[in-house]
Amino acid sequence: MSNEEKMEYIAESLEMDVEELTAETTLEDLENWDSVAVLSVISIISEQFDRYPDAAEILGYKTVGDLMEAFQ
Amino acid sequence: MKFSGKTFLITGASSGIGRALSQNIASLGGRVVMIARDKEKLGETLTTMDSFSNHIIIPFDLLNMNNYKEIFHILKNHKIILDGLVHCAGFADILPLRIMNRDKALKLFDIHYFAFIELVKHYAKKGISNGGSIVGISAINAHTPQKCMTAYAAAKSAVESACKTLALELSEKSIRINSVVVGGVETAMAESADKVIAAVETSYENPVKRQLLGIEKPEQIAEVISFLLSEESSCITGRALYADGGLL
Repeated sequence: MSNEEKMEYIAESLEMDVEELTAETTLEDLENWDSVAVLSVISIISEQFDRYPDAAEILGYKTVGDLMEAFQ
Repeated sequence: MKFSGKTFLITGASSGIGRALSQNIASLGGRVVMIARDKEKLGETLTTMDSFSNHIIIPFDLLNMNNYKEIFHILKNHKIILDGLVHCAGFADILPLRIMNRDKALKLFDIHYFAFIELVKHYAKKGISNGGSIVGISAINAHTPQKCMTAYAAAKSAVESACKTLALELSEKSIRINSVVVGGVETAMAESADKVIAAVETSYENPVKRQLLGIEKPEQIAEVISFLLSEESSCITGRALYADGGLL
């Protein structure tokens, strides 16, 4: 999966535009980095990569760049 | 015994409710034709059942929507006439609104609703069944909403509706059809979904906590389905039977 695609999925989960995000963006600062965003990310990863990430794993990521690591 | 001489087609027989139901029917003298994707898990289930040499396992992916004929060819080859069908196969994807789309929702509809309709269609054909009883699995989500489970709730509502509406056409063939509305059941499917949601939402209250009778065991659901498959429920068709652990 390309970095662009990962960004798209993350933006979708955050209900934001891709243009508003960079790899350095801190997740905690984003209003929409809520429990539903985490559930969305988990849902996408499980569908795309056939693995069910721990909620704790996702919640541990600090930046958008870190979160992109989970997409595999 | 209650099911002596009877044969039932059970999907999702490799685990959870389908597995418990297969064991229940076997213990009551019935023969089971078991469908699931996982051949190994089907075999494992088989070893736990009474008269295990009597039953048949058919590894099959129900998302393979155009090839259900294969299942019923196997039955014909074994000269099996069915007395009942229960569709327990399915998954419960958590789908928040922000990532919902037609494709994702359709996956749930495929396994819960379209697979069910296809199975019922084949079951009702001449030479496949001898009247009997069909049971679909609905869920409390079709009545009490659970956050981020929109598509799942819709699919289960569709199953419940089908069990009511199809009762009309199926009665002409002496086939009864009902649904069981389950609550929180102790299965791998339910547990994985709950664990994820609970870890994320500190305010998430597992609806199971509100079940007066506690979390349900698959064996308990099996008993209710068994009742609907048997002559004991001969005056019931087109209905949704609540077996929700008291989630009032």
